[in-house]
Amino acid sequence: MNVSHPEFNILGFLVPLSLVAGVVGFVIAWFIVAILERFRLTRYLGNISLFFIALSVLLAGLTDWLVNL
Amino acid sequence: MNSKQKPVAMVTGACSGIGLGVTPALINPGYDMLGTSLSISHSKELKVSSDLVLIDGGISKKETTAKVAAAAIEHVGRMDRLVNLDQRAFQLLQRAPGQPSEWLDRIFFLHALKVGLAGVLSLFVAQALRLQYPEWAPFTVMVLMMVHPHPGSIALKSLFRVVGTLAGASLGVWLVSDYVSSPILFLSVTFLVMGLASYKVGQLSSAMAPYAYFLTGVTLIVVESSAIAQPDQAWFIALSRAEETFVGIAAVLITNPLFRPRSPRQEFQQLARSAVDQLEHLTNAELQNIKEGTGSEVLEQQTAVLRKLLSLDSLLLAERRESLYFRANTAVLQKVLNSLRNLFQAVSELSRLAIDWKVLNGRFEKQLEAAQDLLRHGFANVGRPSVEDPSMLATRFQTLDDEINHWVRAGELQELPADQLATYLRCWNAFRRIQNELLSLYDLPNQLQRCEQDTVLQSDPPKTQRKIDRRLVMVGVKGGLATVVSLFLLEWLHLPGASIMPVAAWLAVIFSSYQIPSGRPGHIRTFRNLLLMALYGIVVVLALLVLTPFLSNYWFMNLILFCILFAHGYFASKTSGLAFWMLGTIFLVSVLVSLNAQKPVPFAEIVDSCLGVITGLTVGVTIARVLWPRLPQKELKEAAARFCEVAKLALAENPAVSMSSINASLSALPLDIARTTAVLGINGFLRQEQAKWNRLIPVLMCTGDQLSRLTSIRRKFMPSQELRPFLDSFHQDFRAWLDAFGRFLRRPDSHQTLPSVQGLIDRLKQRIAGLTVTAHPSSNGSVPETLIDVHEYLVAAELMRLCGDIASSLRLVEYSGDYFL
Repeated sequence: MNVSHPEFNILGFLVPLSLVAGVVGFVIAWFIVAILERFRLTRYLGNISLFFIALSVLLAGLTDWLVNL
Repeated sequence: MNSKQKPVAMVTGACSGIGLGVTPALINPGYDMLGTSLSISHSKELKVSSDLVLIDGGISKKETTAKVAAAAIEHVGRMDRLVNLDQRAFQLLQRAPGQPSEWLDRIFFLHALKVGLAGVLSLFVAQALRLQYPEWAPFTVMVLMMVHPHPGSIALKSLFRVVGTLAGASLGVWLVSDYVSSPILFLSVTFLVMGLASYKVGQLSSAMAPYAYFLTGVTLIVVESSAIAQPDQAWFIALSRAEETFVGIAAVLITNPLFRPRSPRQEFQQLARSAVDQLEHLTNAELQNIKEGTGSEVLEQQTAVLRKLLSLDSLLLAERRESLYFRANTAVLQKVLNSLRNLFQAVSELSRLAIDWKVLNGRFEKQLEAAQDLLRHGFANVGRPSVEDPSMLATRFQTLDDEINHWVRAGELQELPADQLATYLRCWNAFRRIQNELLSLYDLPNQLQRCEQDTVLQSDPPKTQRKIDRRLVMVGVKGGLATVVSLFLLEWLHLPGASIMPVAAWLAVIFSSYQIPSGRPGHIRTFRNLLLMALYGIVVVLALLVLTPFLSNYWFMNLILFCILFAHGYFASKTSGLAFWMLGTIFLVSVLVSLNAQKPVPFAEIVDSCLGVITGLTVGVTIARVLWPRLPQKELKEAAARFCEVAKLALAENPAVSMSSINASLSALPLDIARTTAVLGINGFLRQEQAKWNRLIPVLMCTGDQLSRLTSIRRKFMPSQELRPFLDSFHQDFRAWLDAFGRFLRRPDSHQTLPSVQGLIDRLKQRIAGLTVTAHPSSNGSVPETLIDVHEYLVAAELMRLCGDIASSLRLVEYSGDYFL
């Protein structure tokens, strides 16, 4: 992650990029897992929590990279 | 009106709905009717006549009830039938005094009051003694009163708590003073100690000593997390923590016996009576099903009875904890529970009987009807001992039994086709078992009352398993890891948050990992619960921001604390097991107290405290959920496969294994399965799967019972050269089938099918038909007895076929997946 990126200014609060990327990654991963559960696809996963954490990290990294492009 | 010959009926709620249909329907066959409703005199459909009196008034109010009663006496003078359709009447009945729900509600209320008082008292004493961190005293109160709501053996529990606290404090001082400068060694030893404590907590249900390990873990982690930043103060902090924990324990000891202590024995008594009522409903539904084939509510009733049996099992364990070394006088309670379990099995036998009433008419039908009548009387005797002398009922049943035995010996039953004969004998056998269990449960209220005073009977304490349990080892590793990771985050990464973080992480692992046996869903939805807890934390932070200035008032703060503890105690005691929200509340209350609002509190401190709790819970939940999660569907499969293993042992008659322990396992495992079924977590078709398991569990119970019976039959025919090889071959085939069934449950495959037992059933039916034909009145009874014994094998084979049919309809392949984050 690029921690040198300036913080986001949200209503006067300076929020670091890594936090924003983490939250975005978490929310998207949650959404994806919810969809998988809705269509009963999680039965093919041996450990849904591990999948979720890996997906969150991946998506957070991806968000960070996209912002820094 | 009021012709003395005509029967008199009263219908409440008569002017609408079912009441409007019932009233004319009863007038036609010749009833004198009395109809009541709020404004029945204005009804267009019902008019006053010589057969019908209409009275305005709902029966929910005292004055209208008196009015209705007076009118009824004036017009008709007596009452033969009451059709109560007034909705308010149902509500009144539900709220009637003496109902178990209301009684339990009072118990929950008193428990909540005690939690509130103990919390406030502990805080007061801790502050009066000027202890450094008084918030740990109410924290101890909440944890201790949540882990086991019943007081238990106060002396023994307290002793273990004190020993555990001292051990934890000493270990904490030693580790922090000597090893904090070498983190690897420090964290390794902490990992080992916390791992052992986590492992031993898993044995809390069968022994008292794990209390010591639990308190050792809590105290060690509390001392370490506080003293790690100031090792030179380790002694002072450990002493202070130990004192605060003792204050908490003392407050629990003082408040627990106050008012009316929660007694598992009393709760057992209430629930046992309610279980008998439920069994009576189930029996009636089963009998109706046999007679008319309309027992749609059988499955519902069976599930309700199973739930009650599970609760009784838990209460029995709680009662055992009431005395030293689990030697409470629970023999009578155990006997009652066994009788209820056997009664349930016997009643469930009736589910699978396909009686053809066209074939089975005349004297056979009359015999069954007479027996059904006796069973109804028997149930009435269980609840109301004065209704009828049990010996009279037993004699009447024995007369019927003798008559059937006479028919069997005289060969008169052989006029029935073989399958109907078998069904008839099975039905009779089930009736006999129900009758026997009802006799043993006769006068249940007095039996339960007697066991309160009777101190002679002693039951053996449950045996603790000696070998290492793999699942507990996994929890041990997770507990140790959660502690070490959170200490590392606290001390070496300096994450924001209070020193409460490691305790939160450890307790999150412990509480979530040992949930399933107490009827909670294990690690299913733990991330969702964590997210909800985080949102709850934000609300608490905002509330504290507003409330902190008011909390500077000592009385206001105590009032708030009492109210929160009361609400928490009330809802917690109504919830089975330890739910995640309880854990979160315990920590957030601890944060509230630790703020020490007598002086101004910076907002950052409030945020940091709540952040510490949430971070700790996140660490604990993540480790617990990611590493070897405990999911009910997996445990369910394992328990069912274990049942097959034990059933095989029962058939093998291995002299190294005692039959009594096998029988105990065979009757306990279906209840374990039922407990897990209730919290099953499968997406999309959960209800259907639960319904199938609810059908399968009574069949498994009956199968276990039947297999034990086969073992004794085979022993009886040991000397017989003709029958022994025949029976041996069946034992072998049954074992092979159980082996296949166990594999099917453990490792399901969408292409895998169970071997059919139809061949065995056909062979047995042939044999039975042969026995029926060759039976002779002068055969001294040996052939009919053999017929009944061989028939028991047929019953076992049919039960296995049913098990196989239900299990094949389960979607076991899907149980391998992981559901609900």
